[in-house]
Amino acid sequence: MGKLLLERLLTLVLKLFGMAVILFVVTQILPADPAAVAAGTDARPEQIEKIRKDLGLDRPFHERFVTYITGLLRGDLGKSLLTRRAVADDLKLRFPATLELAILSGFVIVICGVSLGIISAVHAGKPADYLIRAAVVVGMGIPPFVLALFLQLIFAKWLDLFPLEGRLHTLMAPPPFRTGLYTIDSLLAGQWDIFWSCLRHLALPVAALSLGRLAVGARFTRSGMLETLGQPFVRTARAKGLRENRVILRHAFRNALIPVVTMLGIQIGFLLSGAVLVEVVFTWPGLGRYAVDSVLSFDFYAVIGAALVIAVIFVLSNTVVDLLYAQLDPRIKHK
Amino acid sequence: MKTFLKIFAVICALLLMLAPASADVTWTGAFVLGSCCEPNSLDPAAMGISQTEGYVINAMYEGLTQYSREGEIVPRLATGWEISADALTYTLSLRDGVMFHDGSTLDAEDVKVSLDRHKELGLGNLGFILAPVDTVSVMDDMTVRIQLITADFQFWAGLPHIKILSADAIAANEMDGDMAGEFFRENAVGTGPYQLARWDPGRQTEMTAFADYWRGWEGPHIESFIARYGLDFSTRLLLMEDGEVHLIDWAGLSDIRRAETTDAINYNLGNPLQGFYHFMRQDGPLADKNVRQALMHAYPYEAMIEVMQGVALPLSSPALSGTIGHCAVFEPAQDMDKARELLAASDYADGFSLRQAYRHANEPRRFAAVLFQEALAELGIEVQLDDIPWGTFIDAQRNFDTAYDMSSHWLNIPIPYAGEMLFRLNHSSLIDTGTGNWAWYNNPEFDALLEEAPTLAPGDPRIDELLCQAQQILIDDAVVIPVMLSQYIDLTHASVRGYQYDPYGFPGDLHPYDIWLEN
Repeated sequence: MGKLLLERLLTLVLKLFGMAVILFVVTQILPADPAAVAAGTDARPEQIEKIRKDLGLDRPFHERFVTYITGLLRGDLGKSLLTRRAVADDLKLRFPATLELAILSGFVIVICGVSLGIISAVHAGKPADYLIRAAVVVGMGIPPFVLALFLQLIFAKWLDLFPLEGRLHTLMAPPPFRTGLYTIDSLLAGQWDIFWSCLRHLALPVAALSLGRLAVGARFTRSGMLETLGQPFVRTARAKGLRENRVILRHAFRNALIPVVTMLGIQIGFLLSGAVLVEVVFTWPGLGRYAVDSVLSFDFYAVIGAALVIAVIFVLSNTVVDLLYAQLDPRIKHK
Repeated sequence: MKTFLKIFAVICALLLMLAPASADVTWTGAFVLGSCCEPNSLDPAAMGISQTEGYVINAMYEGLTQYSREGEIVPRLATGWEISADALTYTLSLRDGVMFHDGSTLDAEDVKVSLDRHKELGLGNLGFILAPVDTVSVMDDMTVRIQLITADFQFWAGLPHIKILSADAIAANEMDGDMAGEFFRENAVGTGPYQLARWDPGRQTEMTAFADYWRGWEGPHIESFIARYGLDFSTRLLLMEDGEVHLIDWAGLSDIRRAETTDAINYNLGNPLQGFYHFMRQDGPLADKNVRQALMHAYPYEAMIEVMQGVALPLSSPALSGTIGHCAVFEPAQDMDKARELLAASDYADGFSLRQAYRHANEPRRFAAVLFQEALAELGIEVQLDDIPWGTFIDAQRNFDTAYDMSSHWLNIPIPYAGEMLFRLNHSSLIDTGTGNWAWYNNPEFDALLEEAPTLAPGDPRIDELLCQAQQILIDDAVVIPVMLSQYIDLTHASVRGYQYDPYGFPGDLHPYDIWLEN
């Protein structure tokens, strides 16, 4: 496992370097002028030239490339062309917002999706199964941003149960920064009112993000379970007189987990890379929105920074999935 | 009895202490602006054209002068001024007893340091205003003298937008000769009525009332001003209906209809210093004046106003009305017969094709492009429309081979001076810069008028005369088509009092000091 981890980390470094090089070259050869965008639509030529110089965009391509790559090797992602803040600082603020949303959504997907899948498989062909399957079809069919609008309308506007948007009440200050996850930071600071406000603000975006993916999780779990429940080793377990719960959870479910884990790995990757539309609808200042805003404003150091973070997330989540395979199926570990 | 008298006296004393405070100030809570866009920086010397950026910065900083609601230059931190006859020397007396948010008191040194800093940094859309300044001298504690290299009316017209910062704060936060640029990007130390409480990037900026503000706090005021960012339109409206947002800037046409269906929302219209113009590059078929004039007659002016559902006004000049030097030289009316006649008199009577760029950042731009395309199709002119982002457009416009034949733009001007706008529209020095003169117009006579006008002293009647001639030339040469002034729409919650749109507050000024909320 250690070898696998080391191998993955080395590939990660190479992949990131390759991505950074490609993204840098692509952003530099685009037919656009980032200095003009940074200066604003009504800037005069002398202001644009000054900004170009300040940002180092007047230097030859090879010089900019060397400066950027050497900076990257030191962990410096460059500065945003628009805000002039370090991209790493921006990402430090934005990524935790997405992480908080993704972690909670992940929990909902795993717990509810897997449970519904097991129930559906165990009660295959019965009303509970039909009900869950129908719900799964509906859940998979509704795009998260549409669901988000419905949730806002019903639970925020009509029933007034949850806040319409945002991470925190407008009149509340964020908790002191430790992890950037407001729920954790408010708990660490003992600010219960903020903690409660954060949880309430998380409810609708988490629901919007997780319901569709939860449906996918339920479907994968159901099909995996149905296949496993028909296997001889399950019949043997039952014949040995084991309790049904034990047969289902310890024997059948464990063996049905590999496709489920694959699916979850991909889903978590997507959640962490920022569900842009949900972030937009709920005014969630996360990574996805940051990436989109950066692209629209030709803020290319920010674009590269966000893309690298998303790449790291995908590679890491795939690595975790591979490691879990080995844990779940000793034959894979052996290979 | 003595004890009773003592208690009575203490109660009276307490009431006396409390009475003035409760009688003078009425805090009416937090005022929330629901905006789409976040400021890139809080530094007044780097101000762009984002209206929200203006709202936030102008709440915390003040200039030496300001524009009244009628567009007159009136005192702010300066109480009076003298302008030399040659318009090269400006001497300003400063207001006494003005305090910065860091506790320091305003004096001539603060003004000198702020102006020098702004000129040196030269960033943002106001970077050009102090370009003609030679020296800023401290005459005494409360008097400052500004000497210009050459007389430039734009300096005086733009001075209200130049904000005064605390010299102490600049000195204390300077790093590697950056004139505290890093510090002021995320902090604010001005003299404005509201001081920065917190900026949570990506979320909101909160400003609270500055207790020692020089105008005092008599009467009803908002206690804090919160600018929220990243809100999309539907969310902003839902929040406003619930009273969680009090002002929505740059609302759309459909929002007027929405506002009309509820008592919770009012809509306001304003006439910003911003016009919509169509440019024709002097090349190919458009090098022929007859063709350009034909296109001017073919433009669907009335249809555009109709598309804007009445929330737009026709333009009578390449300069905006309400600006110094504006004069009506143009009557917008579509006349297809006249257009055909002019086209027949040109060398391109059989039709031709053109490329037009537009930026699809909002619906009117697309409407304008499509309507004009349809009108020209009737004349046998085929128009290829390209919807491209700003950065790409600028890049294309710099090169004669890639520049578009036609393009349409909203033009903002920071100062109510027609010369600034005319310069940006068509001065030959901006050819191939991409940032203006998209018509690639080169007329030395026109240039000379624009160069002479700002050298005259403020108030000189020749300014109007010269600029009027310049506007007439542009129309006669059919270089630019003045399409319309799209009115500014904002929405306010029914509880908002004292708010009035200010077209002169560049890039936006809410005047939060004047606002209060009624429960």
